[in-house]
Formats: sequence, C-alpha cells, structure tokens
Amino acid sequence: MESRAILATGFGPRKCAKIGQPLKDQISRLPDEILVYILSCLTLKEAARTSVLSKRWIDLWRSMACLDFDASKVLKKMFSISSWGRYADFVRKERCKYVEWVDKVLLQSDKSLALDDLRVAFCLDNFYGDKIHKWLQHAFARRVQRLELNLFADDDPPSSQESYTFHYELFCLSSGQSQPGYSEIHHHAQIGFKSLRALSLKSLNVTGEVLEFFLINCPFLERLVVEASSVLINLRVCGPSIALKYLEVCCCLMLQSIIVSDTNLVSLKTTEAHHLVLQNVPMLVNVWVSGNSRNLVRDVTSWLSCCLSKLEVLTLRANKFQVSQEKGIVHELPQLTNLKEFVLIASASKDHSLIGFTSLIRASPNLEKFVLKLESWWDDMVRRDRKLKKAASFPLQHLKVVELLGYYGRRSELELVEYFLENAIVLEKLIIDPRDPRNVTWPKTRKERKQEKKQEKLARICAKQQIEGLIPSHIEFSIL
Amino acid sequence: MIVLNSSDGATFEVEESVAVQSQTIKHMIEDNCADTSIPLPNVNGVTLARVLEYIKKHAEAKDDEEGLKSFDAEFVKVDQASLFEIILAANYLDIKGLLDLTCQTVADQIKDLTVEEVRAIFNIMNDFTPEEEAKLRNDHAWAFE
Repeated sequence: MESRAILATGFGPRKCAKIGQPLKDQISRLPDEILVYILSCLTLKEAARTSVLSKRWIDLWRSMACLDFDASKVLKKMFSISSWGRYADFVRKERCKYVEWVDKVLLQSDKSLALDDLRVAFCLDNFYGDKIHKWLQHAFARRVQRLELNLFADDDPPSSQESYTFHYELFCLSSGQSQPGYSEIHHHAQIGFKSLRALSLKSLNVTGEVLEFFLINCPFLERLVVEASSVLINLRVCGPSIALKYLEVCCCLMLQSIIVSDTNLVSLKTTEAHHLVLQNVPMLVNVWVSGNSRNLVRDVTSWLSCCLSKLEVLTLRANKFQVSQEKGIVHELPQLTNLKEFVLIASASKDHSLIGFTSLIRASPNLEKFVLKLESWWDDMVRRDRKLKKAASFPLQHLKVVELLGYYGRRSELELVEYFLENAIVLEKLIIDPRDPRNVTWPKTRKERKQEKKQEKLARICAKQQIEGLIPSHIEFSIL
Repeated sequence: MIVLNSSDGATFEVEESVAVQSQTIKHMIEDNCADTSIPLPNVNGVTLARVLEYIKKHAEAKDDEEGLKSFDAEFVKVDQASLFEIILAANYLDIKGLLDLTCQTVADQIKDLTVEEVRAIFNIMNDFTPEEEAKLRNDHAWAFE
C-alpha cells in the first residue's frame, strides 16, 4: 500500500484499518455511467490511463462522449523550435504520432455510441486528407453534436492547394448510389451529420457553398465558426428556417461578401465587417467587429446600421491605434439606445490616445458597463509624458461599471479614467487590472511570466499613485 | 413544505422551492406523488441531511458566487465513503450541480496520480496478470507519455 498517496490526500481507509476490516473498494459501488461521468472531467490521456486500473475499467473510458485530441504542449514546443531542420523533423514525427493517436481512438470506437464533442487540433494539411475524411465520417456516423477541426496554418498562410479541403459531397452521397468503397458508415454519416449543433472549422479550405449546405440541412446547428479559410469568398446566412444563433467568421482574407438576412441570429463576430451586409436580423444583440480605419466609430455605425438601436453588447477591436477625435459629432451618430455593455479592445502601443472612442459612449444613453482591454507586447510598454486629452463633457446617466484591463499607467488610460470620473455620474465600480487580457493560446515561458509579473507589479503601484487619490469614497475602486 | 423520508426512517422537511433543485423530486411533485411525504429508499439519513444542506445553501445564496465557491470547496472535504454516498444520492435525486461538484472532486484526485497511486487510494484490486497489464499499457502507449 502506498501510504504516501493516502496521507497526501488525507483521505483513506484508515478508519477501516483501525477496526481490522479488509479495505473496501468503494469506488466500484458506483455504476458505470457515473464512472464515465467522472472520467469525462479528465483529459483524454488521463482517462485512457484508467483502463489499466482493473478489468472493470478496461473500456470505461471508451464510453466518454467527449473526445478532445489536445496536443497543445506538443504544438507549443513545435512553434518554439528555431532551427528549420529540427523543426521539419519534429513536425514530421509528431504529425505521424498525432494521426496514429486519432486513428486508434476514434476509428476503434463503438460506432453506435453517440458522440457529443469531437475536437481535432493539430497542424495537418491535405496530405492527411483521407485520414481526416475518415475521422469526419466516423464522427458524423456517431451523430456528433459539437465538432471542432482546427488544422493550424503554419506562420505564413499556406496556399489553398496545401490546406485540407472540406468536401461535403464525400459523405453525403445520394442513397441510390452504390460504388466500390461505399459502406455502411457512409450511410450512417449521411444521416448522422444532421445532429450537428456546433461546427468550428479553422485553417482549412471550406467554401461558402459547403457552409450553406450545413446551415440548410442541419436543423439544430446553432453555432458556426469559420477561421482562416482562403477559399471562403461568399457566405449567405439567410432564411428563417436556419437555427443559427452564433456566427463567427474571422481572418478569411479572400472574402468578398457575407450576407446575413431574415434570420434569428443572436450573436455575430467577424473581422471582415467591411464585407458585411446585414438585413432584418431582429434578434441580433451581441456583435464583435474589428476594423483598421481611423474613422472606426463611423464605420461601425454604418456596418451595423440596421441593428444598431437593438444592440445590447458591442465589442470593438481597433487594429490601428490612431483614432481621430470626433469632438463635434455626438449628435450625428445614430443612438445605440439598447447598448448595455461596450467592450473596446485596443493596442496600447506607443500610448496613443483612445479618447476618440468616447463618442460612441456618448451615443449610448443606456450604457451600464464599459470595458477596455489593452493589448501590448512586453517590449512595447511605454509611458509617454504628454498632456491628457479631454473629450466633450456629457453626463452618462447609467454607466455603473468601468473596467480597465491590461492597465499600465499610461496617459491613454489616465485620460479615460479622468473622463469617466468627470462624466459618469452614477459610477459605482472602477476596476483596474494590470494583467494581460488576451486569451493566449500557448502557456507562456517562465521568463515571459517573470517579466509579466514585474510589469504587473509596477502597474499596480502606478495605479495606486495615479488614481487612488482621485476616487470619491462612494465609488468602489479595486486594483486586481 | 415537502417531507422526505430516508431509507432508514429519518424524516426531513424542506421548502418545495428548494426541493425542486432535485429533478426527481420535482417530477414526483408534478405527478402528484407527494401528498404526504416522499419516500427515498435509495438514500440514507446521514447522506440526505448533507444533500439538503447543499441545496438549501444553493437556494438561499444563489447570487453569491464567491460564497458558494467556498461553501462547495468545504462541502466536499469528507471521507471517501461519504463522498461516494453523496454521488449516488445526487445521481438518484438528479441534482446536476451536486453531481458535477462531487464527480469533479473525484476526477481531481485521479488527475495527478499514477495508476498505482489511484489503485491505492480507492483500494482497487489489480486483477491483471503482469503480461496482461503490460500489453494494455503498450496498446495505449500514447496515454502514458
């Protein structure tokens, strides 16, 4: 008996040992479904290890309804190799391993067991097209509900010839067709794909026609995410029979048009809003858009003109940091009468002023929460010593909460703090958080974390010095 | 007020609005099987008391996220046998939050341990021959990296 393990968890059969009874296997009292439920809280690898515990556990892990083939540790290692020769070798070896792993687990699984989630995320290109096609067939045959396929482009966008191409024809043959290779699984996949509720396709070739095919034929498809498809030219999301509630289209550089009309879409995220045509989307209340221009505020009001007055949450990502201060146009901007939350994501590079965005705040009479997320690179943390810019005075009647994430004590941030202290007459909470607001895909190295912690500490001190004195006592002020 | 009877004859009173966190009890009430009291032959008194503690707390402090988090953390600090009793009860009574909490607790224990350590903690008897175990480990080599 490993006493170390028992003592470590403070949790053990000591009681039984005292009264001299044999130590009981309590966990075996739990029925299979509960054991599988417990296993589904673990990663795929951790769960598979339990197959060795005892004969009862051999295949329990196979009943897990969620399969996440996560290899983020390997991917992080891969992207940190500097020598091309070593990189190429590493990639080749790891790709084979990954493909073998998915083959083993997915293709050997019980095809009649419904699959809730499947996530395949690794840098694979069209060379593995047949394999990927097989995996998708199996997933659809198992009536997968949430499918994510993320094939990670290399740094430079790969030519569309190299990327895996998603063909729906391959598994949706008409039932009369009999061909060599047509199998039972084809048949199940043809029916099974209609169980889709969420589909996420990143860094592969998928056309608008394929996406529209899914939208029309999957009666439960509520969530669609497409990222980095260089063959996505046009996308139409139209018609009240479409169940889609959440749509995300990002980094599709060849996109020429997205038309969203006559649907019940609730939430939209896109980096291609300049190609967006929105019409009759009465349920659309949550939008995320990004833009490059200096007149971003005006652009946004024109892109979203048909739903501007119904929006409840707006997230705006300003790719360029110079925003012209639009002082006089507060009356020209259409009102965002229902906007409750405004999130602004901006680069804090070189401490350029963000005060121009307050025009959008003034056009949102019912705004309750404002969040600023500042993204900066650790070698770009600069504080300029310039005069604070001011914006037009305008009482903000409902703004209660202001959060500044990625705070560093720059002039651009102080300007905003002063603006809110002056104009937000019902302000209740001001939260300053110096931590990086980005959801970084890779865990950071120890050196990076050390540098970050140093900067966070500095930022906290700055915030205390600069702001604490300015806050009236009725406002809850916290530095996280 | 709803009256619940445990397997060993103990009686508990609880507000209906709190009791319906258990989908099982909710359906019994809806189907009018709850006239006098609800018998729960699969749950003993001690466990039922703990479960009621959970659902009462989660009903009254519904919006206090921080408070509930610390309550939950303390709630699962019990011995193994009790934890499994609560899991079985949560499953039978269909209380999703409690089932998620307790199963996650067990999962967190398995997470960082080796196979031998897991066997030790849960007293699972290894009924494989060394050859069988070696073959299994080899088949799933990808899981043991």
